[in-house]
Amino acid sequence: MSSFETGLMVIVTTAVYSSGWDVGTLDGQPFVAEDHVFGVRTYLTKGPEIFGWHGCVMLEQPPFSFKAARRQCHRWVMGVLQGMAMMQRTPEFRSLSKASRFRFVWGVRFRILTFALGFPTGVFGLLYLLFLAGQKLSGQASISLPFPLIAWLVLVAFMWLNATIIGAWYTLSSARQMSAVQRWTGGALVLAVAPVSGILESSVAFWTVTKWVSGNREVSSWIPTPKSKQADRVAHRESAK
Amino acid sequence: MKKVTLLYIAWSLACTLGALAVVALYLIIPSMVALSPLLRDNWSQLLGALGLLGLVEIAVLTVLTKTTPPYRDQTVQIERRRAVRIPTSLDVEIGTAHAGVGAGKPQMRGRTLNVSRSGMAVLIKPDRSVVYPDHVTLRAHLPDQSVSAKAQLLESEVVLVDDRLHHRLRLHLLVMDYDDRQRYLRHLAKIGAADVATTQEANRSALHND
Repeated sequence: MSSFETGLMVIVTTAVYSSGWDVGTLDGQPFVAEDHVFGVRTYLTKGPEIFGWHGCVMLEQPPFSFKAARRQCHRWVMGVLQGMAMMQRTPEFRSLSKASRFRFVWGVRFRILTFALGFPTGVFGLLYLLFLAGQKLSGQASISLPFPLIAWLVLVAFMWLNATIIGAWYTLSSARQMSAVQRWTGGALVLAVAPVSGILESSVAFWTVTKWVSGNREVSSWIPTPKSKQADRVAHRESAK
Repeated sequence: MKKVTLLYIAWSLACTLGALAVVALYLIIPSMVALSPLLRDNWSQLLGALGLLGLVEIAVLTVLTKTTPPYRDQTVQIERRRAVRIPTSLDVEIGTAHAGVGAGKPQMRGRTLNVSRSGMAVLIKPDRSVVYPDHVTLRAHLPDQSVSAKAQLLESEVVLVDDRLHHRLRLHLLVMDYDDRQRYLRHLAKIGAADVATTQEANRSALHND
């Protein structure tokens, strides 16, 4: 039994032989997340039993630059939207129960929307908090939101910032090549840039969804995320030409 | 490790101040505003917000420290591969079920031909036909105790030993509990230092007596 890894999952080669990897195009545009399309097609034709835990170990290399991260994020969102549009046109999807169709479509839409809406939320949240801080520090009377709303915002802020802390903690706790000071600095840096990096990341999803909703579904060529710093520099030079 | 310079200390302090500013902006000030209907005084609000923050963060950090595996329990594969193979004969049991897949599949018994820090070659006299999966569970019986691991099957081949068909498996160790790993490495150190002829003899007898 052999297998290979995609960004999304590990695929057993025999499954590719039976389902095929040539996913084609959608309205003349190439699919940019062919692994997602493959997963959807396999689910529709073979059912959920085909998926399971494989037990293999993977190494994931995050992008080295914001440009590469932006391209990757755009591809994910656009690719998933393409996959969903393709899925809704298939007879297998239409033969699913109403509940399954709803779960499929709205489950994915919910995830993409929450990702994309992170952009306006992040921007307005930052502006509002700066305004609130300005008021508090200048000793002005607070023009605050109603108590239930501000309590809810505090809860969301706690959850969001702690999610960042937890992510940084797990990443840095296994970085055995780093000293305690380096790990502390790394964690503090993650926390310090979290508001801006969150806004930048979700802005790509927001832009892609806006583009899709407005009917602009043209995709650029499929450029894989560079897996080394050198490859990242070469990709930058190529795209600048 | 990177040498800690004055510049690095300044960078570390800047990052820490940045993190504190974000915590103040996103958690402390909104908490103070939320507490303002209950506490009129600014200092009381600040103390209340810090208390709330402290309680939540202590809870989060307690869960994190309890759920983070220490370095020692991390998987074997992040260690550097060692190619040195020490010929030795250990009894092993190979389980062909892995990660919950194929429960109830047979356990195969065999002996090692050689072992290294990252893997081993095993000889099995099969009593039934078996299709080996990519990953197996492994139990190796050291002279004084046993160790368990999960391993990847790199290669399997049929070999003829004493006119009988055997399976020769090449395994790469993936995951081993820290204590078992220490026992395994101690055993390797012991047999690595022993007379090579003795281990070669043991290996030969494993081939012929099995």
